[in-house]
Amino acid sequence: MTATPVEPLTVDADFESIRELETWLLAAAAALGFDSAHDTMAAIHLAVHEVATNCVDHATTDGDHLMLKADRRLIPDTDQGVGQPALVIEVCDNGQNAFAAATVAAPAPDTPQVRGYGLMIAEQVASSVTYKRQPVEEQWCNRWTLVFANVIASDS
Amino acid sequence: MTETRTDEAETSQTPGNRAESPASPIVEVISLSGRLDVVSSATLRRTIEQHLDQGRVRLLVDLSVIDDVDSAGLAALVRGMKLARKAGGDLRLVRPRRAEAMRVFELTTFDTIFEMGNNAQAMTNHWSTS
Repeated sequence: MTATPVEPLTVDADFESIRELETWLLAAAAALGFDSAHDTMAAIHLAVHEVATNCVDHATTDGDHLMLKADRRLIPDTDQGVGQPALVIEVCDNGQNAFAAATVAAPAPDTPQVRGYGLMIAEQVASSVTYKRQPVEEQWCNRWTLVFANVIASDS
Repeated sequence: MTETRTDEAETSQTPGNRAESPASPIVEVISLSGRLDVVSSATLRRTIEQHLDQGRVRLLVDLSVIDDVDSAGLAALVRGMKLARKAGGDLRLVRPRRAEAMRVFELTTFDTIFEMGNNAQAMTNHWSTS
């Protein structure tokens, strides 16, 4: 199949703006050859939404923005010995603060706490979630990469 | 009926007899629709606080017709549950019908921590007599 390149999405780094992510995400998945109507997309949207919320909550201040990129990559499938198509979503913000994992208490089973569930949700839905703080065009950027290997290809 | 409306999420309250005394046995039903997310959860937090301030500590949040819940919405419910329990009551939930809205509870295992049911009227009747 042929995947159509997807334009990145740039939104203001505020909670109202990240509500716009779903429309872009579904269109991106469809353009990349995934079944955007499949049930798994709702979970993927939740995971991306949680990471974006985390960026706004922890890393950004007024005037910052978020950029989202979508790509299709082949990742190894050890069972079948072939490449498996995966949806890869990058969420970047130009906030001044780095994400400090040590300041977010990991939820403990059976002990309700008020914060700390967003990343836990993203890590459960995605095949992998990685974070890097790196310089991009003369400023620091917080870059989250989410890989979803469980997305159904539209041609399958 | 008091109703507070935001752009997408709606919070409506169905009170029983208002009671000003501490730890009222009346079950207060808070019905939500739309999204319960980082934007709309502030309204829910305020509604819960108002009830608790007036001694209404048995809170039933009806999520049956909610579209989506995220971790911030979950956090508002968890905070409300902890405050209600501290005040001698509880915060219970009517389970969302949509799988998308139920997912956040399953992923965080909060479906086993909250007391949840499927029918607001049945839960209210049962709780009122217990």
